[in-house]
Amino acid sequence: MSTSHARAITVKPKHYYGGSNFLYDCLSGGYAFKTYEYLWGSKTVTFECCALNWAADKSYNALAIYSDRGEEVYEEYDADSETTHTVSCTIGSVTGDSFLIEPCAGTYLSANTFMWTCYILHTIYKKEQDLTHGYYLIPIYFKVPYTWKLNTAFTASVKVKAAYGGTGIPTQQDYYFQLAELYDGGQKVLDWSLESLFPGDEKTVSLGATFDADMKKYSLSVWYVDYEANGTEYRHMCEIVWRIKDVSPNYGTYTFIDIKCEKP
Amino acid sequence: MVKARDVLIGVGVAAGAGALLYYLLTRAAAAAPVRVLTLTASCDGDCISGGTITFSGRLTERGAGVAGERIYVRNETTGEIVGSATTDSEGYYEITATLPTVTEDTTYEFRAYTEDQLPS
Repeated sequence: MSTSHARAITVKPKHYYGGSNFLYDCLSGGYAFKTYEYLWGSKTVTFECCALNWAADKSYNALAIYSDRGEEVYEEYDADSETTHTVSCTIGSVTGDSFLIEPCAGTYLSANTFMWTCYILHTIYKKEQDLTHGYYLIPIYFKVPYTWKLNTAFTASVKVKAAYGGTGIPTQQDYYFQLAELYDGGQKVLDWSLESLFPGDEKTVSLGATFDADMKKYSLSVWYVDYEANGTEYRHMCEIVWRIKDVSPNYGTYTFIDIKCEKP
Repeated sequence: MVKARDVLIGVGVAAGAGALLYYLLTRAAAAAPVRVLTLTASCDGDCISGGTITFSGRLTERGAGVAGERIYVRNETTGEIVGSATTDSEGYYEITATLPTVTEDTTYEFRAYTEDQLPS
């Protein structure tokens, strides 16, 4: 005798929130990020990164690669503490003397609160150009704490290899290493170091600070120092930006983020 | 020249058509459903996989609530009966059910039935 009108209901997947998604060595060969030493001309190259959120039993995360061109790839996914996730993108020829590539891992802390929790910025230069006079750095790894105890000291390390892509006779060059805390609209330098490197030199630099706020955002960056510019110029080479999750009273854990940096 | 006979035939045809129209309209009114079953659905916030959804509505007959009638809510997309309840003295009913488990946004259609209209 009677039926009602139909009612349409959209059911959304259930997510779990929390933890801290991190770039992690889960690519083939044990790397977290695959990138290139210098610009690749007219070729097409593939960038790839992998992440793991092992600071929560279950989590809802995002993994993306951004570049000067904008978003290259972006994926959201559910994961448990052992589930890794990989994204990749291919990029053809680019214009200009440099190109910024950013693999980014993020975490939803609630349905409406999202944070990028770990990302790398790698500026790739033309093999020969005026910005760095053909000098560049090959990032090898970052080592940072992803969980830590409040009000205790930590160190963050980066290992790089100096290189030269020009045709002249290379010389020793200065590179500036900096650890900073980041906040909206600015940064506070916590520690720094200036290193002189010949092409072929490998150098590991460790900088330190005190961890004083849950999910605080830090940056460890490396810059080429160009004294020949009109006034000294600092050219961005590579950087990791990450947040540290408070696990007091435990001391937390360091993680390596290895980078596979190939010739194109 | 119009003859009186033709005028009479015209009037007769018009009257017949009017009578037929009146018959059809009154018959249609008589066939209109006298029972109305409504359905609303609500979740606490978003409708989340495996969460709870509440269906409610009212069964009326010529505007008055019908008591003691069994109402079923059917997921039209899957064919599953998700719950049933009996109308109260005012014809109202409420059914709480569990939403399907999904891994991506999925839209389902739900419809309420009285027992005699329930698809077999």
